[in-house]
Amino acid sequence: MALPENTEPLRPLRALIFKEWLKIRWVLWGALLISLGVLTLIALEQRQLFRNNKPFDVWFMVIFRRRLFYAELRFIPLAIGVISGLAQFVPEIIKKRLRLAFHLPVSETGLILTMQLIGLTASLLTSLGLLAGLALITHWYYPAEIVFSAVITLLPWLLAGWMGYSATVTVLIEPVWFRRIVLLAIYFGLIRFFFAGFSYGDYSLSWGWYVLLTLATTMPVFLSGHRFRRGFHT
Amino acid sequence: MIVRLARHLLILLTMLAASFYLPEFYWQLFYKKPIATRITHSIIQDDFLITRTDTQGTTTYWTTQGQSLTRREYIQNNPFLFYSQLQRWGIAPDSVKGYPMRDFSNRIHTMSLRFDPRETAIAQIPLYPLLESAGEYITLSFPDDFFRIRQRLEFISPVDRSIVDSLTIRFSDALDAAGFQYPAQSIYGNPTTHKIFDEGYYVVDQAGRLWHLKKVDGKPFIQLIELPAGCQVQSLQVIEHPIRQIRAALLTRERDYYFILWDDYRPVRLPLDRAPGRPGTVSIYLDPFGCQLLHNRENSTTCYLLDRDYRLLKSHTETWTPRHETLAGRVYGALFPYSCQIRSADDRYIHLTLRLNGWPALIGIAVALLATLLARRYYPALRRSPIAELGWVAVGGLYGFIALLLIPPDPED
Repeated sequence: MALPENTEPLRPLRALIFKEWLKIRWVLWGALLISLGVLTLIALEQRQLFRNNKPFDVWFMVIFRRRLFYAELRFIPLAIGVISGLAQFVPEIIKKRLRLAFHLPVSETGLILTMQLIGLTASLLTSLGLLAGLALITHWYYPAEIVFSAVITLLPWLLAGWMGYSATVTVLIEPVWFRRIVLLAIYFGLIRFFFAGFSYGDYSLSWGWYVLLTLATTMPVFLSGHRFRRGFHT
Repeated sequence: MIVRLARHLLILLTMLAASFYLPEFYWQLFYKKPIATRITHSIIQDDFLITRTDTQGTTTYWTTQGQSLTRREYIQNNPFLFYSQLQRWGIAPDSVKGYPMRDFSNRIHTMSLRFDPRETAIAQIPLYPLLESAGEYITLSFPDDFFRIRQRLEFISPVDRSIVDSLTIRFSDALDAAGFQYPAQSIYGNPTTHKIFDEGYYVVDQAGRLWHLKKVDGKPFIQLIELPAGCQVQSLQVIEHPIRQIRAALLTRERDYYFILWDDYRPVRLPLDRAPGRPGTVSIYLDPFGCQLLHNRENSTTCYLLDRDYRLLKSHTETWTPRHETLAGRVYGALFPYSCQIRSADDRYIHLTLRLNGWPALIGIAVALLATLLARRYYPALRRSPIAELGWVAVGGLYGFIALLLIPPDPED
């Protein structure tokens, strides 16, 4: 049965969501601005290309020379993910403020899950914005085949953004430095998998596995959160 | 519960990362490239000649009897391959085994190309320019549109992305009349103007039949190619060479290589070895006396000498120790139970696959299990790990051991 809106247990969650929003809103606006800026740059480049070249040649360059006209987007989702994680959790680990949150009448898992979901949702929204923006620009100049190839090529970079967010949060709230370094090495190693391709559609046979891998990397944050709450030092 | 699950997932992720990077580091340290071996058949000696190039780039030349040759002797024994060089030295022969060399030109009378099936195993945007094959000018030029084969053959204009109706109807009707089954499974061609002439595309339809499609005087040219029953094309390379003997080289899913002959589109099966393993690459060399095929595989190279009808005359194989049979390879097999690979030697895609290293890995797993039991004695954090966690070492060997060392259980878990 659904709880009424003013039920007591929902209040700390609402407060938590509001607090997280306050922390990442500037990052979100910044991400939106940067995404818009890069998308505008891509759109202008395309406009210029089509004005100064035969459209056939531009299509040919994309299809057969395999030129990724959206390559500027490659590391943007990752940067957004990492910066969102930093913005959300650096204030929490300074003077171990996160411990205060653990005193809320919300379970440890619920608290970490909520905080992480807010960050992941923010990351997802910016990713969807990038995806939609790129699809729109591509659709303006190219046929469906190239739109599809651009979207499928962008996917692993977006997943890397999610993983970047999870990695940042997991590393930041881990209380022991040695474990932090281990986590950093593991996540860095895994994130590199998402940037192994240099051409369009490189991941089209395996992106399902990469989605699973990304989902799996959202889990270890619960271990770091637990260790943080317990105050481990070794 | 969720914390435990998180730890086990982290162990799994650690093992995954380790199974990619540790084998990579290992081979960076211990891999030694084998000597590159190439075989050609000398029409002068009527025997195969072997060149071996070491990692420093030093090349030596040999006969099959082990007799060493100088570079000059090697060149003199391959007059078709090095005709220009012989001319430069002023020792070009007037004839070779009765074949007059007065008007000989490497560009016209010989053909040399490499067929690598991996090159077509790559993501493609299914839009292709259909060049005019019987154009008015000597040089080729691109058309104004691209074609695609979905539920019909459509020409699409890059100017406004509209369908070019006249061409679309003309070509689709011709394909319909020929019995083509839409959509196309794969399309092979050389979309470039840097060639002497154009022969269009080879298209595999939904029924798996192979078609030749080109544009001649603006009209469709469509030809069904009758492949042997059960043959399914895996990769195909269109050959547009003035020698005009072969239209295409193809590899079937049954791992047979075929040539499609120029005159009658007849498929000729090539007498290449179908031994298990990767199909490898085939270098094709045609000269006035026949054909040489150099089949390069993981640990062997074979030169097949064929006559002008592509029948096998003789062959010679050179082998080298495969990487997994070297000392470094055997240690690798025992040390690492599997490796995570994101690139494949079979195609150009990015994957995420685990490749098992076989039974010798059991040795490494046993050693890793022993090491874990020993570590439990001296490393207090690991002592907290339930004995069931040895399962990670049992499936991951060294990777599991490392993961348990790095991510031991926390005190109260």
